[in-house]
Amino acid sequence: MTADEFNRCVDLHADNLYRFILKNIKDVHKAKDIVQDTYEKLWVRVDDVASTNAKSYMFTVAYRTMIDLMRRDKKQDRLEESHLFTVSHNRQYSDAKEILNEALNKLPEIQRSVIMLRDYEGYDYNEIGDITGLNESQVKVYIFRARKFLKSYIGSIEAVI
Amino acid sequence: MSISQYNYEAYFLDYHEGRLDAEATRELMAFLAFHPELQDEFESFEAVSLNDVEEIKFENKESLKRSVSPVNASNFDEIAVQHIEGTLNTSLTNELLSFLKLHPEYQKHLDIYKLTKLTPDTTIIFEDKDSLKRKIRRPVVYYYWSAAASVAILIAGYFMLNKPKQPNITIASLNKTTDTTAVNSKIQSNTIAIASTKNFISNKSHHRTVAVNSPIPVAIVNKQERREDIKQVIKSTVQNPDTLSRITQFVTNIPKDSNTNNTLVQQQPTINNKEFINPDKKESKSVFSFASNTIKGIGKIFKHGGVEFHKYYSKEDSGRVIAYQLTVGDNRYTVARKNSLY
Repeated sequence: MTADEFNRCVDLHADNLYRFILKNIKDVHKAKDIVQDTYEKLWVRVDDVASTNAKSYMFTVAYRTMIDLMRRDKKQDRLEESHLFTVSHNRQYSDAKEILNEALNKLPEIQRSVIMLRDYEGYDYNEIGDITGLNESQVKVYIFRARKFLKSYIGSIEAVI
Repeated sequence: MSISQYNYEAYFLDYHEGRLDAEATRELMAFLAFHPELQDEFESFEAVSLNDVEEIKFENKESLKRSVSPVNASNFDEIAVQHIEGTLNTSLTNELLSFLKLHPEYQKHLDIYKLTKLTPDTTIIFEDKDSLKRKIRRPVVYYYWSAAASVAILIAGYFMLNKPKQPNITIASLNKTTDTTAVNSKIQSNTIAIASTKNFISNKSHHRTVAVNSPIPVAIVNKQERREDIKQVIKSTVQNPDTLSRITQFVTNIPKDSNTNNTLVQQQPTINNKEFINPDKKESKSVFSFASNTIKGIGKIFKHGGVEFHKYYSKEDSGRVIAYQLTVGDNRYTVARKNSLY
Protein backbone atom coordinates (compact mmCIF):
# COMPACT_ATOMS: atom_id res chain seq x y z
CA MET A 1 0.00 0.00 0.00
CA THR A 2 1.37 3.40 -0.94
CA ALA A 3 1.26 6.54 1.18
CA ASP A 4 -1.50 7.87 -1.07
CA GLU A 5 -3.56 4.74 -0.51
CA PHE A 6 -2.93 5.00 3.22
CA ASN A 7 -4.19 8.58 3.24
CA ARG A 8 -7.20 7.50 1.21
CA CYS A 9 -7.89 4.92 3.92
CA VAL A 10 -7.99 7.75 6.42
CA ASP A 11 -10.63 9.59 4.39
CA LEU A 12 -12.68 6.46 3.76
CA HIS A 13 -12.59 4.59 7.05
CA ALA A 14 -11.58 6.86 9.94
CA ASP A 15 -15.20 7.93 10.64
CA ASN A 16 -16.53 4.37 10.54
CA LEU A 17 -13.76 3.14 12.79
CA TYR A 18 -14.24 5.96 15.26
CA ARG A 19 -18.02 5.44 15.29
CA PHE A 20 -17.65 1.73 15.93
CA ILE A 21 -15.22 2.21 18.80
CA LEU A 22 -17.06 5.16 20.34
CA LYS A 23 -20.37 3.29 20.36
CA ASN A 24 -18.68 0.49 22.24
CA ILE A 25 -16.39 2.29 24.61
CA LYS A 26 -18.46 5.46 25.08
CA ASP A 27 -15.38 7.57 25.75
CA VAL A 28 -14.44 10.16 23.13
CA HIS A 29 -10.79 10.46 24.11
CA LYS A 30 -10.19 6.74 24.35
CA ALA A 31 -11.98 6.20 21.07
CA LYS A 32 -9.75 8.77 19.36
CA ASP A 33 -6.67 7.21 20.92
CA ILE A 34 -7.65 3.81 19.58
CA VAL A 35 -8.20 5.23 16.09
CA GLN A 36 -4.80 6.96 16.23
CA ASP A 37 -3.15 3.81 17.48
CA THR A 38 -4.80 1.73 14.76
CA TYR A 39 -3.54 3.97 11.98
CA GLU A 40 -0.08 3.95 13.57
CA LYS A 41 -0.07 0.17 13.40
CA LEU A 42 -1.31 0.22 9.83
CA TRP A 43 1.49 2.62 8.87
CA VAL A 44 4.08 0.33 10.42
CA ARG A 45 2.80 -2.47 8.18
CA VAL A 46 1.97 -0.27 5.21
CA ASP A 47 4.17 -2.34 2.92
CA ASP A 48 2.55 -5.62 3.99
CA VAL A 49 -1.15 -4.71 4.00
CA ALA A 50 -2.90 -4.39 0.65
CA SER A 51 -5.24 -1.44 0.31
CA THR A 52 -8.13 -3.83 -0.34
CA ASN A 53 -7.59 -5.48 3.05
CA ALA A 54 -6.85 -2.32 4.97
CA LYS A 55 -10.36 -1.80 6.34
CA SER A 56 -10.66 -5.31 7.77
CA TYR A 57 -7.15 -5.06 9.15
CA MET A 58 -7.98 -1.79 10.92
CA PHE A 59 -11.25 -3.03 12.39
CA THR A 60 -9.49 -6.13 13.66
CA VAL A 61 -6.70 -4.12 15.25
CA ALA A 62 -9.10 -1.53 16.68
CA TYR A 63 -11.47 -4.14 18.09
CA ARG A 64 -8.69 -6.02 19.84
CA THR A 65 -7.13 -2.85 21.17
CA MET A 66 -10.53 -1.83 22.51
CA ILE A 67 -11.07 -5.20 24.19
CA ASP A 68 -7.66 -4.99 25.84
CA LEU A 69 -8.42 -1.49 27.07
CA MET A 70 -11.81 -2.49 28.39
CA ARG A 71 -10.34 -5.41 30.25
CA ARG A 72 -7.72 -3.19 31.75
CA ASP A 73 -10.38 -0.77 32.86
CA LYS A 74 -12.49 -3.63 34.14
CA LYS A 75 -15.42 -2.27 32.28
CA GLN A 76 -16.18 -5.29 30.22
CA ASP A 77 -19.54 -6.75 30.83
CA ARG A 78 -18.74 -10.39 31.34
CA LEU A 79 -22.34 -11.48 31.14
CA GLU A 80 -23.11 -12.52 27.64
CA GLU A 81 -26.83 -12.84 28.22
CA SER A 82 -28.93 -9.71 28.14
CA HIS A 83 -30.49 -8.23 31.21
CA LEU A 84 -33.87 -8.34 29.66
CA PHE A 85 -36.60 -6.29 31.29
CA THR A 86 -34.35 -5.28 34.15
CA VAL A 87 -34.52 -1.59 33.25
CA SER A 88 -37.40 0.62 34.01
CA HIS A 89 -38.85 2.66 31.21
CA ASN A 90 -39.82 5.83 32.98
CA ARG A 91 -38.71 8.35 30.40
CA GLN A 92 -40.09 9.68 27.16
CA TYR A 93 -38.65 8.68 23.80
CA SER A 94 -38.79 10.80 20.69
CA ASP A 95 -38.54 7.97 18.18
CA ALA A 96 -37.75 4.33 17.64
CA LYS A 97 -34.12 5.13 16.81
CA GLU A 98 -33.57 6.60 20.24
CA ILE A 99 -35.11 3.52 21.83
CA LEU A 100 -32.90 1.35 19.66
CA ASN A 101 -29.80 3.26 20.71
CA GLU A 102 -30.67 2.81 24.34
CA ALA A 103 -31.29 -0.87 23.78
CA LEU A 104 -27.97 -1.13 21.94
CA ASN A 105 -26.15 0.31 24.92
CA LYS A 106 -27.67 -2.37 27.10
CA LEU A 107 -26.37 -5.20 24.97
CA PRO A 108 -23.32 -7.15 26.14
CA GLU A 109 -20.16 -5.92 24.43
CA ILE A 110 -19.74 -8.90 22.15
CA GLN A 111 -23.34 -8.80 20.92
CA ARG A 112 -23.12 -5.05 20.39
CA SER A 113 -19.90 -5.38 18.41
CA VAL A 114 -21.09 -8.12 16.08
CA ILE A 115 -24.42 -6.47 15.31
CA MET A 116 -22.72 -3.12 14.63
CA LEU A 117 -20.18 -4.74 12.33
CA ARG A 118 -23.10 -6.43 10.61
CA ASP A 119 -25.40 -3.44 10.24
CA TYR A 120 -22.99 -0.48 10.13
CA GLU A 121 -20.25 -1.99 8.01
CA GLY A 122 -22.10 -4.74 6.16
CA TYR A 123 -19.57 -7.45 7.00
CA ASP A 124 -20.63 -11.06 6.50
CA TYR A 125 -20.52 -13.58 9.33
CA ASN A 126 -17.15 -14.90 8.31
CA GLU A 127 -15.54 -11.46 8.22
CA ILE A 128 -17.06 -10.57 11.58
CA GLY A 129 -15.58 -13.80 12.89
CA ASP A 130 -12.13 -12.81 11.62
CA ILE A 131 -12.36 -9.42 13.29
CA THR A 132 -13.70 -10.60 16.63
CA GLY A 133 -11.93 -13.94 16.82
CA LEU A 134 -15.20 -15.91 16.83
CA ASN A 135 -16.27 -18.69 14.53
CA GLU A 136 -19.14 -18.18 12.11
CA SER A 137 -21.60 -20.14 14.19
CA GLN A 138 -20.85 -18.07 17.28
CA VAL A 139 -21.32 -14.89 15.29
CA LYS A 140 -24.78 -16.06 14.17
CA VAL A 141 -25.78 -16.93 17.70
CA TYR A 142 -24.71 -13.55 19.04
CA ILE A 143 -26.51 -11.69 16.28
CA PHE A 144 -29.65 -13.72 16.88
CA ARG A 145 -29.53 -13.02 20.61
CA ALA A 146 -28.88 -9.34 20.01
CA ARG A 147 -31.82 -8.95 17.64
CA LYS A 148 -34.10 -10.86 19.94
CA PHE A 149 -33.12 -8.61 22.81
CA LEU A 150 -33.54 -5.43 20.76
CA LYS A 151 -36.91 -6.63 19.52
CA SER A 152 -38.07 -7.43 23.01
CA TYR A 153 -36.79 -4.09 24.29
CA ILE A 154 -38.51 -2.10 21.58
CA GLY A 155 -41.67 -4.17 22.05
CA SER A 156 -41.70 -3.58 25.77
CA ILE A 157 -41.16 0.16 25.29
CA GLU A 158 -43.96 0.30 22.77
CA ALA A 159 -46.24 -1.32 25.32
CA VAL A 160 -45.35 1.38 27.85
CA ILE A 161 -45.55 4.53 25.73
CA MET B 1 -59.10 -79.36 40.18
CA SER B 2 -62.52 -78.90 41.74
CA ILE B 3 -64.23 -75.66 42.57
CA SER B 4 -63.77 -74.44 46.08
CA GLN B 5 -64.22 -71.25 48.05
CA TYR B 6 -60.61 -70.42 47.29
CA ASN B 7 -60.69 -70.55 43.52
CA TYR B 8 -64.25 -69.92 42.43
CA GLU B 9 -63.37 -66.35 41.10
CA ALA B 10 -61.25 -67.94 38.37
CA TYR B 11 -64.19 -70.12 37.33
CA PHE B 12 -66.49 -67.10 37.38
CA LEU B 13 -64.09 -65.20 35.07
CA ASP B 14 -63.59 -68.12 32.71
CA TYR B 15 -67.32 -68.64 32.56
CA HIS B 16 -68.04 -65.03 31.61
CA GLU B 17 -65.24 -65.01 29.07
CA GLY B 18 -66.60 -68.27 27.55
CA ARG B 19 -63.60 -70.39 28.35
CA LEU B 20 -65.37 -73.06 30.51
CA ASP B 21 -66.26 -76.35 28.84
CA ALA B 22 -69.59 -78.06 29.48
CA GLU B 23 -68.41 -80.26 32.29
CA ALA B 24 -66.80 -77.35 34.16
CA THR B 25 -69.92 -75.29 33.60
CA ARG B 26 -72.07 -78.01 35.17
CA GLU B 27 -69.63 -78.21 38.04
CA LEU B 28 -69.79 -74.39 38.50
CA MET B 29 -73.62 -74.40 38.50
CA ALA B 30 -73.63 -77.18 41.08
CA PHE B 31 -71.19 -75.18 43.18
CA LEU B 32 -73.49 -72.06 43.03
CA ALA B 33 -76.51 -74.17 44.00
CA PHE B 34 -74.59 -75.40 47.00
CA HIS B 35 -73.38 -71.82 47.83
CA PRO B 36 -76.28 -69.44 47.12
CA GLU B 37 -74.46 -66.61 48.98
CA LEU B 38 -72.10 -66.35 45.98
CA GLN B 39 -74.89 -65.91 43.46
CA ASP B 40 -74.76 -62.07 43.63
CA GLU B 41 -71.03 -62.02 43.11
CA PHE B 42 -71.40 -64.37 40.15
CA GLU B 43 -73.99 -62.04 38.60
CA SER B 44 -71.92 -58.90 39.28
CA PHE B 45 -69.16 -60.43 37.19
CA GLU B 46 -71.73 -60.78 34.50
CA ALA B 47 -72.71 -57.09 34.74
CA VAL B 48 -69.24 -55.71 34.24
CA SER B 49 -68.36 -55.34 30.54
CA LEU B 50 -65.83 -53.09 28.86
CA ASN B 51 -68.30 -52.52 26.10
CA ASP B 52 -70.48 -50.76 28.53
CA VAL B 53 -67.84 -48.24 29.69
CA GLU B 54 -68.59 -44.70 28.54
CA GLU B 55 -66.05 -43.49 25.96
CA ILE B 56 -63.71 -40.87 27.38
CA LYS B 57 -62.22 -38.44 24.84
CA PHE B 58 -59.26 -36.01 25.07
CA GLU B 59 -60.80 -32.88 23.80
CA ASN B 60 -57.69 -30.82 22.79
CA LYS B 61 -55.86 -33.35 20.69
CA GLU B 62 -54.89 -30.66 18.10
CA SER B 63 -52.79 -28.88 20.65
CA LEU B 64 -50.65 -31.99 21.00
CA LYS B 65 -49.96 -32.23 17.31
CA ARG B 66 -46.82 -30.80 15.74
CA SER B 67 -46.91 -28.60 12.66
CA VAL B 68 -45.18 -29.96 9.60
CA SER B 69 -44.64 -26.41 8.26
CA PRO B 70 -40.97 -25.21 8.41
CA VAL B 71 -42.23 -21.94 9.89
CA ASN B 72 -44.17 -22.22 13.12
CA ALA B 73 -44.56 -20.54 16.46
CA SER B 74 -41.60 -22.33 17.96
CA ASN B 75 -39.08 -21.16 15.33
CA PHE B 76 -40.66 -17.89 14.27
CA ASP B 77 -37.98 -15.73 15.96
CA GLU B 78 -35.19 -17.59 14.25
CA ILE B 79 -36.87 -17.34 10.86
CA ALA B 80 -37.71 -13.66 11.38
CA VAL B 81 -34.08 -12.81 12.23
CA GLN B 82 -32.84 -14.70 9.18
CA HIS B 83 -35.39 -12.78 7.12
CA ILE B 84 -34.13 -9.36 8.20
CA GLU B 85 -30.53 -10.59 7.97
CA GLY B 86 -31.20 -11.37 4.34
CA THR B 87 -30.07 -14.97 4.71
CA LEU B 88 -33.50 -16.62 4.29
CA ASN B 89 -33.89 -18.52 1.03
CA THR B 90 -36.85 -18.00 -1.28
CA SER B 91 -38.64 -21.15 -0.20
CA LEU B 92 -38.52 -20.26 3.49
CA THR B 93 -39.46 -16.66 2.74
CA ASN B 94 -42.61 -17.93 1.04
CA GLU B 95 -43.30 -20.20 3.99
CA LEU B 96 -42.91 -17.22 6.30
CA LEU B 97 -45.38 -15.18 4.26
CA SER B 98 -47.83 -18.09 4.31
CA PHE B 99 -47.40 -18.39 8.05
CA LEU B 100 -48.10 -14.68 8.51
CA LYS B 101 -51.30 -15.01 6.49
CA LEU B 102 -52.47 -17.81 8.74
CA HIS B 103 -51.23 -16.06 11.88
CA PRO B 104 -51.47 -12.30 11.32
CA GLU B 105 -50.73 -11.66 14.98
CA TYR B 106 -47.05 -12.43 14.18
CA GLN B 107 -46.81 -9.60 11.64
CA LYS B 108 -46.24 -7.09 14.43
CA HIS B 109 -43.36 -9.18 15.76
CA LEU B 110 -41.77 -9.20 12.34
CA ASP B 111 -42.23 -5.43 12.06
CA ILE B 112 -40.45 -4.90 15.36
CA TYR B 113 -37.64 -7.17 14.24
CA LYS B 114 -37.25 -4.93 11.20
CA LEU B 115 -36.75 -1.99 13.55
CA THR B 116 -33.70 -3.69 15.05
CA LYS B 117 -31.71 -3.01 11.88
CA LEU B 118 -29.11 -0.44 12.94
CA THR B 119 -28.19 2.56 10.82
CA PRO B 120 -24.91 4.39 11.44
CA ASP B 121 -25.05 7.77 13.08
CA THR B 122 -23.30 9.88 10.45
CA THR B 123 -23.07 12.84 12.79
CA ILE B 124 -20.29 11.00 14.57
CA ILE B 125 -17.10 11.74 12.63
CA PHE B 126 -13.38 11.72 13.31
CA GLU B 127 -12.63 15.39 12.88
CA ASP B 128 -8.85 15.52 12.82
CA LYS B 129 -8.16 13.22 9.91
CA ASP B 130 -5.11 15.22 8.84
CA SER B 131 -3.36 14.11 12.00
CA LEU B 132 -3.67 10.52 10.75
CA LYS B 133 -2.33 11.17 7.28
CA ARG B 134 1.27 10.68 6.23
CA LYS B 135 3.47 12.65 3.90
CA ILE B 136 4.89 11.04 0.82
CA ARG B 137 8.28 9.64 1.72
CA ARG B 138 10.28 11.72 -0.74
CA PRO B 139 13.67 11.17 0.94
CA VAL B 140 13.28 7.50 0.18
CA VAL B 141 12.40 8.33 -3.41
CA TYR B 142 15.47 10.53 -3.71
CA TYR B 143 17.54 7.73 -2.30
CA TYR B 144 16.28 5.38 -4.98
CA TRP B 145 16.82 8.00 -7.69
CA SER B 146 20.37 8.58 -6.52
CA ALA B 147 21.07 4.88 -6.48
CA ALA B 148 19.54 4.47 -9.94
CA ALA B 149 21.57 7.37 -11.33
CA SER B 150 24.77 5.92 -9.87
CA VAL B 151 24.02 2.57 -11.45
CA ALA B 152 23.27 4.28 -14.76
CA ILE B 153 26.58 6.12 -14.67
CA LEU B 154 28.44 2.92 -13.95
CA ILE B 155 26.64 1.12 -16.74
CA ALA B 156 27.24 3.98 -19.16
CA GLY B 157 30.91 4.04 -18.19
CA TYR B 158 31.19 0.31 -18.68
CA PHE B 159 29.68 0.43 -22.16
CA MET B 160 31.74 3.47 -23.07
CA LEU B 161 34.98 1.79 -22.10
CA ASN B 162 34.04 -1.48 -23.78
CA LYS B 163 32.36 0.06 -26.75
CA PRO B 164 33.86 -1.09 -30.05
CA LYS B 165 35.68 1.69 -31.76
CA GLN B 166 33.44 3.22 -34.38
CA PRO B 167 34.96 3.72 -37.79
CA ASN B 168 35.66 7.34 -38.55
CA ILE B 169 33.57 7.59 -41.65
CA THR B 170 32.26 10.61 -43.45
CA ILE B 171 29.47 10.07 -45.89
CA ALA B 172 29.17 12.55 -48.67
CA SER B 173 26.96 12.74 -51.72
CA LEU B 174 27.73 13.95 -55.16
CA ASN B 175 25.49 14.94 -57.96
CA LYS B 176 26.12 13.09 -61.13
CA THR B 177 27.45 16.15 -62.82
CA THR B 178 29.66 17.14 -59.95
CA ASP B 179 33.29 16.32 -60.17
CA THR B 180 35.11 14.71 -57.32
CA THR B 181 36.91 17.78 -56.10
CA ALA B 182 34.84 18.10 -52.97
CA VAL B 183 35.59 14.55 -52.00
CA ASN B 184 39.20 14.71 -52.95
CA SER B 185 39.73 17.65 -50.67
CA LYS B 186 38.69 15.48 -47.73
CA ILE B 187 40.84 12.53 -48.54
CA GLN B 188 43.88 12.43 -46.32
CA SER B 189 47.04 10.39 -46.38
CA ASN B 190 45.65 7.90 -43.95
CA THR B 191 42.15 7.67 -45.41
CA ILE B 192 40.55 6.04 -48.34
CA ALA B 193 37.39 6.92 -50.21
CA ILE B 194 34.78 4.28 -50.73
CA ALA B 195 32.16 4.89 -53.35
CA SER B 196 29.68 3.00 -55.41
CA THR B 197 31.88 2.95 -58.45
CA LYS B 198 35.35 1.62 -58.77
CA ASN B 199 36.45 4.55 -60.83
CA PHE B 200 35.62 6.97 -58.13
CA ILE B 201 37.92 5.44 -55.58
CA SER B 202 40.82 4.75 -57.88
CA ASN B 203 43.86 6.90 -57.90
CA LYS B 204 43.05 10.52 -57.41
CA SER B 205 44.52 11.43 -60.71
CA HIS B 206 42.03 9.23 -62.41
CA HIS B 207 39.00 10.61 -60.68
CA ARG B 208 36.32 11.68 -63.00
CA THR B 209 32.69 12.48 -63.02
CA VAL B 210 30.63 9.47 -62.12
CA ALA B 211 27.60 8.84 -64.26
CA VAL B 212 25.85 6.13 -62.32
CA ASN B 213 23.64 5.98 -59.25
CA SER B 214 23.16 9.62 -58.63
CA PRO B 215 23.51 10.85 -55.97
CA ILE B 216 26.50 8.73 -55.17
CA PRO B 217 27.41 8.02 -51.57
CA VAL B 218 31.05 8.36 -50.88
CA ALA B 219 32.61 7.19 -47.66
CA ILE B 220 35.98 8.49 -46.59
CA VAL B 221 37.46 5.96 -44.24
CA ASN B 222 40.56 5.68 -42.18
CA LYS B 223 42.65 2.89 -43.56
CA GLN B 224 43.15 1.37 -40.15
CA GLU B 225 39.49 0.64 -39.62
CA ARG B 226 38.29 -2.93 -39.53
CA ARG B 227 36.51 -3.75 -42.75
CA GLU B 228 33.58 -5.41 -40.92
CA ASP B 229 33.02 -2.22 -38.96
CA ILE B 230 33.09 -0.22 -42.17
CA LYS B 231 30.57 -2.53 -43.78
CA GLN B 232 28.29 -2.19 -40.80
CA VAL B 233 28.32 1.60 -40.94
CA ILE B 234 27.83 1.71 -44.67
CA LYS B 235 24.96 -0.75 -44.39
CA SER B 236 23.19 1.50 -41.93
CA THR B 237 23.80 4.56 -44.09
CA VAL B 238 23.22 3.58 -47.70
CA GLN B 239 19.59 2.88 -48.51
CA ASN B 240 19.81 1.82 -52.14
CA PRO B 241 20.37 -1.95 -52.15
CA ASP B 242 22.21 -1.93 -55.48
CA THR B 243 24.57 0.80 -54.32
CA LEU B 244 25.04 -0.94 -50.98
CA SER B 245 25.90 -4.19 -52.71
CA ARG B 246 28.54 -2.61 -54.88
CA ILE B 247 30.16 -0.67 -52.04
CA THR B 248 30.20 -3.75 -49.84
CA GLN B 249 31.74 -5.73 -52.64
CA PHE B 250 34.38 -3.09 -53.09
CA VAL B 251 35.30 -3.12 -49.40
CA THR B 252 35.54 -6.86 -49.51
CA ASN B 253 37.81 -6.76 -52.53
CA ILE B 254 40.32 -4.37 -51.04
CA PRO B 255 43.49 -6.37 -50.47
CA LYS B 256 44.09 -7.27 -46.84
CA ASP B 257 46.80 -5.69 -44.80
CA SER B 258 49.61 -8.15 -44.26
CA ASN B 259 50.06 -7.09 -40.66
CA THR B 260 46.55 -6.93 -39.30
CA ASN B 261 44.98 -9.25 -41.83
CA ASN B 262 41.77 -7.38 -41.41
CA THR B 263 42.21 -3.68 -41.80
CA LEU B 264 42.16 -1.90 -45.06
CA VAL B 265 45.34 -2.04 -47.06
CA GLN B 266 48.16 0.32 -46.49
CA GLN B 267 49.10 0.04 -50.12
CA GLN B 268 46.14 1.99 -51.34
CA PRO B 269 47.09 4.89 -53.52
CA THR B 270 48.36 7.88 -51.66
CA ILE B 271 45.79 10.36 -52.66
CA ASN B 272 46.68 13.47 -50.83
CA ASN B 273 49.50 14.65 -48.69
CA LYS B 274 47.37 16.86 -46.60
CA GLU B 275 47.79 16.19 -42.95
CA PHE B 276 44.87 14.75 -41.13
CA ILE B 277 44.32 17.36 -38.48
CA ASN B 278 42.45 16.34 -35.34
CA PRO B 279 44.89 16.52 -32.45
CA ASP B 280 42.16 16.42 -29.74
CA LYS B 281 40.30 13.57 -31.28
CA LYS B 282 41.07 10.82 -28.81
CA GLU B 283 40.69 12.82 -25.60
CA SER B 284 37.61 14.73 -26.61
CA LYS B 285 35.88 11.60 -27.84
CA SER B 286 36.42 9.74 -24.60
CA VAL B 287 35.21 12.47 -22.28
CA PHE B 288 32.35 13.46 -24.50
CA SER B 289 31.24 9.87 -25.03
CA PHE B 290 31.26 9.20 -21.32
CA ALA B 291 29.34 12.37 -20.51
CA SER B 292 26.82 11.96 -23.32
CA ASN B 293 26.17 8.31 -22.43
CA THR B 294 25.64 9.34 -18.81
CA ILE B 295 23.09 11.96 -19.86
CA LYS B 296 21.32 9.44 -22.07
CA GLY B 297 21.19 6.93 -19.19
CA ILE B 298 19.83 9.46 -16.73
CA GLY B 299 17.30 10.54 -19.34
CA LYS B 300 16.05 6.95 -19.65
CA ILE B 301 15.73 6.62 -15.88
CA PHE B 302 13.76 9.85 -15.72
CA LYS B 303 11.54 8.65 -18.53
CA HIS B 304 10.71 5.38 -16.76
CA GLY B 305 10.24 7.17 -13.46
CA GLY B 306 7.77 9.64 -14.94
CA VAL B 307 10.00 12.65 -14.24
CA GLU B 308 9.40 15.53 -16.64
CA PHE B 309 12.58 16.32 -18.56
CA HIS B 310 13.77 17.40 -22.00
CA LYS B 311 16.79 16.18 -23.92
CA TYR B 312 18.35 18.16 -26.74
CA TYR B 313 21.33 17.60 -28.97
CA SER B 314 23.16 19.79 -31.40
CA LYS B 315 24.76 18.63 -34.64
CA GLU B 316 27.34 20.20 -36.85
CA ASP B 317 26.92 20.27 -40.61
CA SER B 318 28.47 16.86 -41.07
CA GLY B 319 25.77 15.40 -38.87
CA ARG B 320 28.10 14.72 -35.96
CA VAL B 321 26.57 15.43 -32.55
CA ILE B 322 28.62 18.03 -30.80
CA ALA B 323 26.54 18.65 -27.67
CA TYR B 324 23.87 17.11 -25.46
CA GLN B 325 21.66 19.04 -23.11
CA LEU B 326 19.30 17.73 -20.41
CA THR B 327 16.81 20.02 -18.67
CA VAL B 328 14.90 18.99 -15.54
CA GLY B 329 12.71 21.75 -14.17
CA ASP B 330 14.92 24.83 -13.90
CA ASN B 331 18.13 22.82 -14.00
CA ARG B 332 20.06 22.43 -17.24
CA TYR B 333 23.00 20.14 -17.86
CA THR B 334 25.10 20.42 -21.04
CA VAL B 335 28.05 18.47 -22.39
CA ALA B 336 29.81 19.54 -25.59
CA ARG B 337 32.72 18.30 -27.61
CA LYS B 338 35.96 20.01 -26.92
CA ASN B 339 36.82 22.65 -29.52
CA SER B 340 33.35 22.44 -30.98
CA LEU B 341 31.48 25.57 -31.90
CA TYR B 342 28.72 24.87 -29.39
